[in-house]
Amino acid sequence: MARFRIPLLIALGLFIAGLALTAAFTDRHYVLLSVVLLLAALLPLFIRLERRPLQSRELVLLAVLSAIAAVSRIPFAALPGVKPVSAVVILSAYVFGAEAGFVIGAVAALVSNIYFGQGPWTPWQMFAWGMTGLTAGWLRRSWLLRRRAGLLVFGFIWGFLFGWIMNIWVLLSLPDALSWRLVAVTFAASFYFDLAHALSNVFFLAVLAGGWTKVLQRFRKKYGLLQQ
Amino acid sequence: MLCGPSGSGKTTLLRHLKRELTPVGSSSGTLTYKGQPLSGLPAAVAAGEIGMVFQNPDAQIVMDTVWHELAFSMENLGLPPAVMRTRLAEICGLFGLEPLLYRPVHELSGGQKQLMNLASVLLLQPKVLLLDEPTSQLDPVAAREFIMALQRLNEEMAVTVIISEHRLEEVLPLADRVLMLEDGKLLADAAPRLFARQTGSGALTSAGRYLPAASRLYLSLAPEADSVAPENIPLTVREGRRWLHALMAGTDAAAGAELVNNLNSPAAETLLTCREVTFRYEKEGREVLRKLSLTLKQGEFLAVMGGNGAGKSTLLHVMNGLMKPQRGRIELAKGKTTGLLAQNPLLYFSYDTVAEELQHMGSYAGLTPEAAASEIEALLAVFQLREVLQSHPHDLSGGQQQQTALAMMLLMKPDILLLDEPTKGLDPAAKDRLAALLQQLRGQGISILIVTHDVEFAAKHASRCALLFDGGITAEGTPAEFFSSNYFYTTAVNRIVRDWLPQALTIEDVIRTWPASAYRC
Amino acid sequence: MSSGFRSMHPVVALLYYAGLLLFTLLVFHPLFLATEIAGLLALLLLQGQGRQLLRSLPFMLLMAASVALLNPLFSHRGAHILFYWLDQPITLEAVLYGLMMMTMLLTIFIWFISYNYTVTTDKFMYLFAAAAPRTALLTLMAIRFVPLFQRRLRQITLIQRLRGIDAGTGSLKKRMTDGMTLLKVLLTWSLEEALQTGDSMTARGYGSTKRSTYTIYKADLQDKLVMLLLTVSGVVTLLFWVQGYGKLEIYPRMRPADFGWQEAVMYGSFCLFVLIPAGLEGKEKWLWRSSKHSNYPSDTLKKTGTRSMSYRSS
Repeated sequence: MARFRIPLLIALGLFIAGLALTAAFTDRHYVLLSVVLLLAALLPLFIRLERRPLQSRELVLLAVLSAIAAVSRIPFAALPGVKPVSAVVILSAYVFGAEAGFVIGAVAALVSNIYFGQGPWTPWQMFAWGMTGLTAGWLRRSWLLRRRAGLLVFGFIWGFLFGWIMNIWVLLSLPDALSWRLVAVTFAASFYFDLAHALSNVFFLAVLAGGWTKVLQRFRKKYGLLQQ
Repeated sequence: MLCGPSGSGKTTLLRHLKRELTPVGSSSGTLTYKGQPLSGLPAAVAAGEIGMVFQNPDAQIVMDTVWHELAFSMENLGLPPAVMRTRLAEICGLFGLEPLLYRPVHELSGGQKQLMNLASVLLLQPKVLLLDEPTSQLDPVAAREFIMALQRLNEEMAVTVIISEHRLEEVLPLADRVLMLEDGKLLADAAPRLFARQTGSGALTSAGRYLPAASRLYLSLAPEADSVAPENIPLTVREGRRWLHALMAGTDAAAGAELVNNLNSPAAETLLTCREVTFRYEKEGREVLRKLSLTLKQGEFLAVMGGNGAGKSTLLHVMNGLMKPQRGRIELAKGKTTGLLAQNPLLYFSYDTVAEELQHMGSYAGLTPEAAASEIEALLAVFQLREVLQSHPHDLSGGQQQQTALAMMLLMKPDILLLDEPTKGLDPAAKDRLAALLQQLRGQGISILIVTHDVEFAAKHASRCALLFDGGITAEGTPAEFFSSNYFYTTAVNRIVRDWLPQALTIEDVIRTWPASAYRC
Repeated sequence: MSSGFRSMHPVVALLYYAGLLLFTLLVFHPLFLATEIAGLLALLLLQGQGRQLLRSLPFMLLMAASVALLNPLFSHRGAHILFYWLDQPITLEAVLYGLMMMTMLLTIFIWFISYNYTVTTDKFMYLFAAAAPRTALLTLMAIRFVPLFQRRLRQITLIQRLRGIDAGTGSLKKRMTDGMTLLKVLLTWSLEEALQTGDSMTARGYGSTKRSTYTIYKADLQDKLVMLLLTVSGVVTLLFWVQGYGKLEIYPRMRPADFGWQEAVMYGSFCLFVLIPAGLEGKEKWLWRSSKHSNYPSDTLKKTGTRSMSYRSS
């Protein structure tokens, strides 16, 4: 059984992807397709995590940072839009790189939703926060993230991007009515939440950047963790 | 058994014996396991046959439920499911873990966690078991249970056990060999009784504090330690009593001596009063404190004792005003302040160096920079923290962390110091240093209240003791009164000599009051 | 307490929920969606989860209703114009399509409630660990850390108040800054401990060989039987779907659905698929009730039958 696991999984994946494509083309039914595409986007990064050499210390480090990101979400649960997770993910990625940032973001979304409720939004949040970390890791050596102001701008932008990614699954449930006006209405409706998210990101990054990067860098140096 | 002060290299030695955890750095010499060099062993053998349990029960746990945590080590070695199931059944039977099997690990007590950690290592059926101060974070009851489990493993399964431990009273009598390390050197390697004689003969006087009470008592009362036969040296309370019985046969001199306690000063001013305090954490929760009344007087050193979960830490938090009781009142004398030292000093640190921590605390205390600087200077001298001033607080030893946190609290100039289990995890030398420090503070007019499990520490240094049970104070008095009326909950020395000197709690008490004729014959 | 469908092997649950989600997203037909909702509701109610359902009802209805309203407002396709609103035609087709999407969304929400109750985290991890062991381990560790960190954060909050760091008082800026300081203390402490956790993993042989998996689940005869039934009925339904049955045509023009024998067969096998868990749950409930009356007239009740012997004691 174990020998056939990988081919079996691939076959199953292809089968569902085929169904999704059929549904999309024949019936203009995009929800399944979007889920398949989302998983396809997440998959390579998780496969990379499975395959790359990783010390147990580094694995625990990733788990700790994911859990801290998840815990940081809890005290702010009452304020819609305010999600310190983004800031924690960006800073972790800033110090430990793109892959770590992606894993921390995605796992934080999955784990925190055990407390906030899993729903159709879970994979989208995993994707959005994973991408937040991934892009922050990619850009960490660039001119943008080198200076403090750039970091804040980056956080601000991701506050909106996060909201927009989350809007996609709302839009997808109305494939027929999809028009620029509907897009505009949806984005307008989420604007205040996105703005709150963006501003809180700027605030959290401004407060955390100095202290947290120092703490994280100390660990990276002291124990030689996740040097790429 | 491996003993020696903190920083003597016990952990480093143990980690060298566990190949996966060998510290980085330059090393020389060879390590062999069953005649083979340790570095040449196959990975599965090295991981399975040499097991290791660490100090901190929480930090070793990887998984979220007990069964998963237990299975974790077996999964790592790729054992087939049927084997795993049998071994798990076996070990759960041995340790009585079956009722806990599906519980999340965070619901377990510290003692249960440490037993689970031990069981998880044992599932690999190790030949050698390394333990690095495994009971230092446990309360006495849980520690005894853990040590008894080790004893069974050693005696019934013939597992080789190498343990570094500060809890000598229980472990030393069980040991076959005692190794003493200091500054990375092996000072002694002998059977326990022989080791005890060596410490008595002057070659190893600093090791005296690593002996159980019975041996220490014997050595301080016996005329010439060099000449005693090692097999006569008592290690346990039972042996100690037997020796004293033999010694006292025919004489009847002891009954006369009375202890005079000069620590009592009844006319002091009352600083802090708890008046019928009732506290619970949740509305529907259990009453942790129930109509508790307690007073602390100027210049006192009060030790509050009690079992696990009796509410000792809660009492301190309530007394310090961190939590408000639902009923009853805490009354603090006018203009007096309290300072709290929590069990875990790590809770206090939020900056990158010790110096920064102290400076920020100084400015929070409202001191001018100059005043703060001179205060800090004075504290550094007392606490001997000058060398570590630029270190990260997390890089210090446990004792130094505690002293740093204490120094931070003292910058607030409290009149009353509340300490939560200050002796937990400290080696005997560090304990003595702490005691000296507390006495010095008391000399400066600070009143002290500690909550502790450490009977020996309370008996030796407190001016008053109280017992917290079922949410209230059930007994209190001077150490002599308090402990001599207890049967179990008293010092080992007292348990040895109580037939002759019911009020003697420490070796010093015994020496002071013992009729000289009884042994100097 | 786990019994009935919840105590079955995780693979059975996975098959059921994966199939159900697939059908929700594929089969565009009100009868099928309604059947699905009915099946899930029956299962949830039999499992005693009515309260949970009620609690999330307002949110669900709000989301679903907004979809039902938005579609006719933004989509004007269709032949039957009902009326004009703000100079925009509101068509019958768009209204119906909106209602369909609403039903689908409702189904997904109810699906999640049922899924969360039946496929608990450790079951999900068991399934997940087969495909991605390292990711599963990482997630499990993070799951364990969350309650631990919450407890630590409470301690830190309490003690740091002694040095003036308090997220509960002061201006908003000070409170948020202090809150972040508290998190930083937690971060430093937890990272230090993480190194010890890493050592403990290495000491216990993590990474020395290929890992095996210990499982607390065993597939019994009933599990296998149910799995077979689910597979067969699911595949039959899917085959008909591929043939083009079970599709309600709304656009470009609403047409009454014809219900031939093919649809009847498809619907029958679909019903079988959807209702198996609720049936199992109901059977067990009935067994319990009847055993209480007949078998054990005395006051001590004992568990009977294989199904009620749960693998998990919690």
